[in-house]
Amino acid sequence: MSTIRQSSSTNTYSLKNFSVLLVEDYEFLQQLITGMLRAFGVGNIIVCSGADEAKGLLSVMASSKSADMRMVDIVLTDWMMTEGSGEDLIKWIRNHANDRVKFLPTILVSAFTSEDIVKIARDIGANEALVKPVSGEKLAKRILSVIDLPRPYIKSPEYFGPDRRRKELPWKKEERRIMTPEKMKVTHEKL
Amino acid sequence: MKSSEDMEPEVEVVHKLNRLKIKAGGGLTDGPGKLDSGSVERANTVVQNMSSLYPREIKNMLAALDKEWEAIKTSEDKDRAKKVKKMSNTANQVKDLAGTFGYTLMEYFGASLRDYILKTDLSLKEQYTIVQAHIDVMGVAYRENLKNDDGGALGEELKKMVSTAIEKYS
Repeated sequence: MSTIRQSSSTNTYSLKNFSVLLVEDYEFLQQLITGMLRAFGVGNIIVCSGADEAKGLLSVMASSKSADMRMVDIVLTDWMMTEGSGEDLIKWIRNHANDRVKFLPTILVSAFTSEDIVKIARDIGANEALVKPVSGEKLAKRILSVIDLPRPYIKSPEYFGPDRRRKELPWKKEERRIMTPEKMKVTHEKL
Repeated sequence: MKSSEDMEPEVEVVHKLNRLKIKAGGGLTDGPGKLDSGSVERANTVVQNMSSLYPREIKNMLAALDKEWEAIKTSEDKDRAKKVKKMSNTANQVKDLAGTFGYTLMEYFGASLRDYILKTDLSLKEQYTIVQAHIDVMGVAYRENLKNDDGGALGEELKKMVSTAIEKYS
């Protein structure tokens, strides 16, 4: 059986096998976002009230061999929380020794202005950023982006996370990158 | 000694297998997919249904802000930072809550209070005046049920009160 298929029509995704970790300290918004994820058909939603709790849970999941304790597929985290921030959580994820945690797709949700948060999210290694207020359209778009537009991960001495450049555009100014693409090590995970 | 040519590259590009796409029912070479046609509408209905809870919730949040503010005013220096952080978080939640349901005036004051608190340690009396101005106008916006920026003259007046306090006491 092969999982590689080709199709010209647009697939309608089913998220029933997805497990999403929502990290949000405000109970009202926990309920609201959980309800929205259920409306998308997400099969399993786990809620933590802060980064500290989420780190503990992800550590247990990473070390567990039990089928009941499978790793989550996407982390959706708030930015500003009293018990550990979203920034703290994403940095912890990207620095984790276990690849099942290290490469987790993360969506940063924040009430701060879009320009600031998109830049910070990019620099700490978030896959996507969503500026509150949350709407069905915005949340669906970010989830679809994580599924359909995954970027390669970059491992360098200064950064680990998704490639911060979404598009390869011609660069007209002075070249500041000291390494040419030919000198980079490129690995492709196999099925 | 290894020459620079022999050294391991410092940058690695890792292309992960797109397991999420497979899990969602797509094929690795398929184009972009979509969620089922009614799902976004259902998600927005969740938001709409919860909007009836806004008046009670915002009342609770404003009461929490009041309580946290009283605690800061009477706290010792060593406790203040933690309490200030808590209050800035509550102001942020007011912004989140109000913004979700289109109460843009309350959202504005929540963001303004949060940003002001994040810039200060709330140790000076002048700073107290600015915080108090925010709390007062948020109370008015709630009692008068002012929803958005076109709430008219009163909304503008409340915004002016806050900006005047910030200008005068900063």
